[in-house]
Amino acid sequence: MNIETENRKLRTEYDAELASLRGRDDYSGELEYFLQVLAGGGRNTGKPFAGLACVQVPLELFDAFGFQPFRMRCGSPAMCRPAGDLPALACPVIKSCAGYFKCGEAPEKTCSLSVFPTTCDWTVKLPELLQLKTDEVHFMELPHLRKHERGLKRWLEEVYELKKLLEEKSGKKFSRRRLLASISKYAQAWGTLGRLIEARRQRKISGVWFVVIANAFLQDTVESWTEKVAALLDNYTRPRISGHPGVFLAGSPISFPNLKIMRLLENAGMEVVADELCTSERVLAGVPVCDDFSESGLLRALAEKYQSACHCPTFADNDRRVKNVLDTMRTHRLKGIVYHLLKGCHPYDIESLQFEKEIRKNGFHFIKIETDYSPEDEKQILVRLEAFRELL
Amino acid sequence: MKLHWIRFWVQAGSFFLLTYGGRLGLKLGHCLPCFSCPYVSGCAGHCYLMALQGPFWGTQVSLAALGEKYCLSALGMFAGFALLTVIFSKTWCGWICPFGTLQDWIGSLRRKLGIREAEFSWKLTDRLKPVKYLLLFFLLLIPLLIGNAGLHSDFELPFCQLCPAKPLMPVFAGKFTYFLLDLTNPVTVVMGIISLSLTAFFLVGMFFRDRFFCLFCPLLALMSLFDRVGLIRFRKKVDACLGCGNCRRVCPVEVREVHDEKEKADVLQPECISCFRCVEACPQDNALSVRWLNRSLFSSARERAGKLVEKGKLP
Repeated sequence: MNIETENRKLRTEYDAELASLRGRDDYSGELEYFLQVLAGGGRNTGKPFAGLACVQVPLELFDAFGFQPFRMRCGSPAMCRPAGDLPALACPVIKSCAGYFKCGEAPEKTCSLSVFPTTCDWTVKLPELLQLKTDEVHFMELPHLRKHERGLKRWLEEVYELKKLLEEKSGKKFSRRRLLASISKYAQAWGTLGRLIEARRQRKISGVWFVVIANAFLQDTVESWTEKVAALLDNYTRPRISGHPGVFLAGSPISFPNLKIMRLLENAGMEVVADELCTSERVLAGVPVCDDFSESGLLRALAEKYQSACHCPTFADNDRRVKNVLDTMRTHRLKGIVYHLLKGCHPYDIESLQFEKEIRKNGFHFIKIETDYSPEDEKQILVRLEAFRELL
Repeated sequence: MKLHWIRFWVQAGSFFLLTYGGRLGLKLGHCLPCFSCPYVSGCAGHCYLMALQGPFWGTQVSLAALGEKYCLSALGMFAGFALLTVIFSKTWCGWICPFGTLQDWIGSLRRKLGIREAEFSWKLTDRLKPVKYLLLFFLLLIPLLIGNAGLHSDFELPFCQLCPAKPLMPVFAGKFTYFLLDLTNPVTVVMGIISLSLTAFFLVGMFFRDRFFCLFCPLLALMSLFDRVGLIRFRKKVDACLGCGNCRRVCPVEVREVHDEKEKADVLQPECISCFRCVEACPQDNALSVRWLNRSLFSSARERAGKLVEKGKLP
């Protein structure tokens, strides 16, 4: 494997995707920031990067200790190739993430710390597959049951361990004041994300751009992202509001530059107005409201926010996921769900069976699209999506 | 204005009115569903528990007297209490009760000092739930035994004798005498020692745990019997609940059921003190709401929950 060749391919792929996005009729100057952030892959702010694998890691803690939390990139089809030695059935998210580690320069290579919550088996074994140095890797053991007190307590212990580690790495002592300031920053980002979600519900912004903006989160400082999203919401006007039927997008994550399913949905004449993806509407978990401002109270609030409200299918008790989806469907009068399933993404695959039953039982249309990052099956998927559109 | 600030000022106003209102001529009677302690001279009204245990309108009476005129006056007092409870439900506890307010102030002091709140296991919280009903039972039984089984009359008003509000609340009226032991006879001495020990226990408890006394409050137990007919209802849109745990964490009396409920819309719990803190902290639009006479008083909202932490400063 020639790293330079692979990186050239990555660059070409990025350039093509960025050019395609800039060429859209709903592109506007306010969106350029997000494209640049994604093109750069982690903006250097002078703070040490901490790479995060999944959405359960408490972001505020990193910020409070002076780290720049960075979402590990995992959406490049080109980066799946360098990870060819991984098991063939590995999901493309893992393959691509491994590719970035193997070929990329920064920030994956320069992260002073990579944090992996033990969500799915692939995520758990990824550091081993990548042969990462043990002192740069930190696992957070995620209890997969939340209905018992012991699950919450064990996760809180993990958050305490992370705090201890960050104290060691940064050389700073924990400060409630700093943590509260960080909580405030992320609460503002969450509030702005709420406005963005509302804008998409009202079709003031397209599904594609929503995913792009959400993907840019944690590729720069939270303050910059919040400021740019707020400015976009204030100034952006979509040139033409789509009259296409709205759909709900569920399932595996969609990461830049792989916007394949988003494009196919648009081409099939559907508009994604809501989703439950951990790289889109769920990039931010919520707000940790608490009345106990002691160290213990704040950490407990953070721990619960990131564990209890998460709808990742790796949790054993995840029945709220489908209920929430149904509620959104009813509230926004959507008729159909597109379930995006990446090959090898076992948790979403397993949960899709019960999920589909519940959705159909409640009278909604459902289609499952199982795919990967390669373009080979695009035509076939498009035909299926066009047929699905006729039902809506 | 944020809801918890409105509540703070309502509580402060209620505390002032109920503690000093009598001096201003305010007379609210003897059947208030809150700890407006009758031992506070110049208070505006009395906690119904005193009437309930007493010989005039309560259970300290011979069974033979139940058929007489006495019964009507006791029922009238109970009806007054019931009416007030049905109309305002347990907002009496969360918004009006002066002893509840005192507990909230003590809790605020702990927060200012940055001391962590004592955490009870779910098992312990569940085990404590029946204690208030047990206290209510003895509160009714002992006066009956005085009236009918020859129990010593110095056991009169058994709950009031042991209630921590009796020595603590009169302090706000400048009276400290209830911290002294009554040396009349062994019964009064023993009751006095138990009372002061309990007061010390609850004072420490209230400092380290929000609304510690409410976990044992027999008045809350009595009021919760009216939950089904109370005009205040808590509604949960169960499908909209993310399960984030904010409601469970901010609840001063450790109610977990609002969070855990996944089927029923009615989530008013017997332990609830109707402070509405769970509704304020819920980050999902309209997932939780408070209704009075089936009209929405207050609903959860994403924006409001976000504002609670956006300030980013210590209390």
